[in-house]
Amino acid sequence: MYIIFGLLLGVVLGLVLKINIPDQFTSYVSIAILACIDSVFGAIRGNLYKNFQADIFISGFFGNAILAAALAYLGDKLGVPIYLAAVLVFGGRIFDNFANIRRKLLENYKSSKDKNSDTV
Amino acid sequence: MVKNDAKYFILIGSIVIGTLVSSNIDTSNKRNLKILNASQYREAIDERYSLKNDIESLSDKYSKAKLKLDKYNDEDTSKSEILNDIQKELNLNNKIMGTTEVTGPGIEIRLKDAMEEYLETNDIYNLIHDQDMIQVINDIKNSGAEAIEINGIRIIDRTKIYCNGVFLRINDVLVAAPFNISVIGNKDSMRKYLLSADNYLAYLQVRGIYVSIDDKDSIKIPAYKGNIDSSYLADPTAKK
Repeated sequence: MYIIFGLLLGVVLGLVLKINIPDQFTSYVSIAILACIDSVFGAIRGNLYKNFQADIFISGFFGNAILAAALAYLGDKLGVPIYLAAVLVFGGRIFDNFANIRRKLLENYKSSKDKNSDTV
Repeated sequence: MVKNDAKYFILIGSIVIGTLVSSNIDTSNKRNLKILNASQYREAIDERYSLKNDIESLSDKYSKAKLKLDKYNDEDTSKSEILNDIQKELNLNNKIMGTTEVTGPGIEIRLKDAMEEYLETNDIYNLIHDQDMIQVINDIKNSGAEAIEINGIRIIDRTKIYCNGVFLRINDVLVAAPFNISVIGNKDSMRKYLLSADNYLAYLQVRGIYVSIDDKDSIKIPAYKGNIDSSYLADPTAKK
């Protein structure tokens, strides 16, 4: 719920504020977005497993985004597609985290159902 | 408490992502992406480089012209200074046009008919013709020559070379063999270029014609003496 609300709010903010990212930076921003999504998924997972730590989340959220964008930029300058490394790592981790979140949510749902059926 | 914390952070994080995504999509809509294969990509890169070079040289030109204009508009610059500058520029243009005498380092090319062979064989290829001279001048121009003269006659862009019996008619003046061609420019590069096997002097040598090239540290080339007609030339930028 929080995520969807936050995303919608962010989209509206972006449209209203009309932040103009120069054309040559759009690819770097895309990589940074991927890193941010990864951090958010990590936070959701940490929340579910009750081991979320705010400092780790914040440092990862910005640090990963900046590092990913910087790597993509460096790769562009060197002519080596380093951004692929970021895409692979963050993409893989997003799926990993999502799998964990899904499992945990389903487990929680099942256990609550069992409890309910027990009480009835 | 920990749980609440996470929710707030996730909320903030997703707001940031949403903002980034929406602003990124906004601009990427305008981008015109095209998939290129390797050779097309290389061509595009080459084109970008040449365009960049063009831009650089144009902006260089622009800044020079602007500097000059600023100097002229500047009230501190005296009239005599401006006149001096204009005179300098005029002199340079005259030098390039060929209407003034010029000196400089360069090479001297001597071309002589193969007379003995001609008298024996009567082969006209042992003589230098107008076509040969035109080709040689063309090669000389291509070698980076800045001023050319044949037997004291300045070669400019209006120069015409015709056959006139045993003479060549250059700028309406009759010139007889042997031909001394003086050229101002880079000695080494001109000599190398002119003597390379696929240029015309090599072909003349094959025909038995005497060809020699001497380096000169100082060559004096006279001014063009004919008229330069410009009665039909109009300035396209002039106001009507």
